[in-house]
Amino acid sequence: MNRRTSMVLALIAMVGLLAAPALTQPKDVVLGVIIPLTGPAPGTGQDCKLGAEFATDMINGALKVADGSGLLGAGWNGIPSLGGAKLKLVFADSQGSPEVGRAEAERLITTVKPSATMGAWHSGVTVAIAPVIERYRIPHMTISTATELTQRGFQYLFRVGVNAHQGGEVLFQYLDWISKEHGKKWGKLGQLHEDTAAGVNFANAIEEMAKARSIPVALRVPYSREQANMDSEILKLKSAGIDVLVQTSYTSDGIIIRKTMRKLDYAPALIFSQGGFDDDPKFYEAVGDDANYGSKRQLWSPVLSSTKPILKTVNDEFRRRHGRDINDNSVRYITLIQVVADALNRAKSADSQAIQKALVATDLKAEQVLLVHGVKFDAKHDNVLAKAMVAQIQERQPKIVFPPEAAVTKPVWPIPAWNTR
Amino acid sequence: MTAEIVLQSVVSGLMFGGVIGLVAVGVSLIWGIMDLINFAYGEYLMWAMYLTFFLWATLGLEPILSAPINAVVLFVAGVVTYRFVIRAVLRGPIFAQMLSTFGLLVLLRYVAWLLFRPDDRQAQSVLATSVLTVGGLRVSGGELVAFAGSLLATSVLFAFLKCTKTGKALRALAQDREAAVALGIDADRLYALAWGLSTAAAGVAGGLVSSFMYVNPLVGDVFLLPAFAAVALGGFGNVYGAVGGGLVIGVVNVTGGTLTVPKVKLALVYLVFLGVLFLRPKGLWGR
Repeated sequence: MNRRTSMVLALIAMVGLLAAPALTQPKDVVLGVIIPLTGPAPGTGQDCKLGAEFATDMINGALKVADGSGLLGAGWNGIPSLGGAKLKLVFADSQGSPEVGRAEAERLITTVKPSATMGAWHSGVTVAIAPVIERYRIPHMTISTATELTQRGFQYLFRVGVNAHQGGEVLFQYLDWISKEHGKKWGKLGQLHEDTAAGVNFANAIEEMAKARSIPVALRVPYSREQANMDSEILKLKSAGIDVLVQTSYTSDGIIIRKTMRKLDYAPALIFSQGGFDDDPKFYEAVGDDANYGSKRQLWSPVLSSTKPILKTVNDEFRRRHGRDINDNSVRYITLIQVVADALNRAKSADSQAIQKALVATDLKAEQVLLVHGVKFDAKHDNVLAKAMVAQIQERQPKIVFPPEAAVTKPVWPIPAWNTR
Repeated sequence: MTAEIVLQSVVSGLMFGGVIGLVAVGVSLIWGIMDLINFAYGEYLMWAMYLTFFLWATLGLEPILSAPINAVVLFVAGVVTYRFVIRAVLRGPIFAQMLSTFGLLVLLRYVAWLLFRPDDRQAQSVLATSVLTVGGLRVSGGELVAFAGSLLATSVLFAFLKCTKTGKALRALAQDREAAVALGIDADRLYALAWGLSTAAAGVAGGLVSSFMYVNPLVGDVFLLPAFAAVALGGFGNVYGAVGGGLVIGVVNVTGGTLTVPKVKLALVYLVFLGVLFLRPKGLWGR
C-alpha cells in the first residue's frame, strides 16, 4: 500500500467515524395534527396546537418543569425505546370543514407519511376523516365527542376525551346533587344545538339518558349555524318555559345566542354545554360579563393541585409561555401527545401497525396524564376512564363547582335574572 | 304561547326584515334598471362588513358609524365594476351577463378568503349590547339603529329616484332604454351610477348589520338568499316593493319559526315566496 492509498483510506475512515453518530441518530417520529386553524373556530384550534406543542416539548426534553413528576414523558429526551427519537408535529388546517379536513388528512398521510395522526376537534370533521385514516391504516387519536365515531368498528381510531354520553352523564349527577343541596328549582329540560355531528350526537345522548331517568325532554331546538338571527329559537325556549337548557354551539353562533338571550330576557336556571363556544377566548371577548353563570362539562382544572400538585407547576409554565391557562382543548391535546408517546415507547417502533397494537394496550393512570382521568381503551377504543366535572363560568373563568371534592367554589343557582345583572 | 311572545317575534322579524329589505333594494335597483341579476351582491356586502370590521379593529370606530364610509367606498367599487366588467358584457347574451356576475362572486369571495382566511370576525359594538324595552317588547340598540338606518337609506334612494332629474332619467332608462337613449339620456353614465348606488346600499347594509353579525367570506349568502326572495316578493325591479318584501320575509322568518319549528323558518320563507309568485307572479307590489 503506497503512501497516497494509505492517506485516502485514512481519510475515508475519518469521514466514516465522523458520520457514524449521524447515521445512528434516530429518525424523528412524524405526527400529523389536523385542527381548525382558520374558519369558525380558530381560537380553539390554536389552543389545541399550543397543547400539542407543549407536550411535544416535554417529550423531546425541551420543557423541564415536570421533571421528576409522575407525568408520562417528564424527564424524557425523545422516545426512550427509540434511542431518543424526537417527535415532530406537522399541522394541517381543517378550516372546520369536513371536506377540507378529509382532503387535508389524505394529503398529510400521502405526503409527510406520519406514524400517527390526530384531530380534528369538530366531530363532523372527524366523522369525515375516520374512513380515510382507516383506509391508510394510520392510528388516529381524537377528542371529538360524537358517540357514533367509535360505534362503527374503526380499528385505527382512538378517543382520549369523553364521548357525548360520558360528557352528558355529569349533567344528571349535577342536577341530582344541586336539587338536594339547594332545593329543586327547575322544571323543564330542553335542548338547543347546532345541527352537525357534535350537536346532534350530544342531544341524542342527553335524550337517551334523560329517558332512562324518566326525565322528559320538553323541547329540542336544532338550528343551522350560518344565520344572522336566532330570535325564534330563543323565543321558542322562553315560551316553553325551559329552565334547564342543554346547549351545543360553536363560537359565532354561541355569541349570537347569548346576546339574544339577554335581549329577549331569557335566563334559565341552568345552561349546560359540552364545551365549544365557552372554551373559546373569543366568546368571552364578545359577550363580556354576559358569559357568566353558564355551566359546562370540564375535563381539567389546575386547582386539582391538592391531589396532583404537578398540575399547577405545568399550568404555570404554560401560562408563562402563552399568557393563558391550560383549558379543556389544550389539556386534551397535551394528553393526546402523551398517549401517542407512550404507545411509541412501548411499541419500540414508529411503524403504524406497531403503534396501533400498542395503543390498544394503553393503560395510563390519572397521575400520568393532565386530564382528570387516566386513559384505557375498551373494545371500541373509547376511553373507559374518561369522566367530566362541571364548571360554572364566574368572573369570565370556568370554575369547578361539581363534584364537591374537586369544587373550587359554590355554584350560583339558579342563574340570576338579566335585570339583576 | 302567549300573545306577548308572538308580538315580540313580529317586532324582531320587522327589525331583521328592515336589513334584508336594504340588501334587497340594492339587488332590485340593478334588476329594475338593467334587467340584470347581480349574483355577486352578497360579496359586496361581505367586503363592506370587512371594511367595518377593520375600521373598528384599527380605529375603534363604532360599526354603525362606518356605514357612510362604506357607502362611499362601495360606490366607487360599484362604478369600477361596471366600467371594467359589466359594460363589456352588456353587449353579450343575457347568459354572459349573468355568468359575469357569478364570476365576480367567485372572485370577490375567494380573494377575501385568501386575504382574511375563513375566520369569523366580529366588531364589538357598544350600541348592540344596549336593550330597549317598550311595553314589554324588546329590541337591541344595534337592531333598532340598523332598522332605522335601513329605512333612512331606502328613503333617500327613493327621494333621489323620484325627485331629482338624474333619478327620473334612471327610471326612464328602466322603463324603456331605447326611448330614453333617443331622448339624449347617457345610458352608460347612468348605468355606472346605478351600479354605484346599488353597491353603496350594500356598503350601508354592511355597516348596519356588523353590530350584531360576524363576518366571514361566506356571510353574503346569509343575507343574499332571503334578499332575493324579498325582491321577488316585492315585485322584480320594484325598489320600494323590495323593502316591503324584506319586512315580510323578516316576519315570516322569525314569527313563522317561533310559531312552528325554528329549523324550518327558511323553508317557510321560500314557501311564502312560492305562494305569492303562484298567486301574484309579479310579486306583491309588482305592476
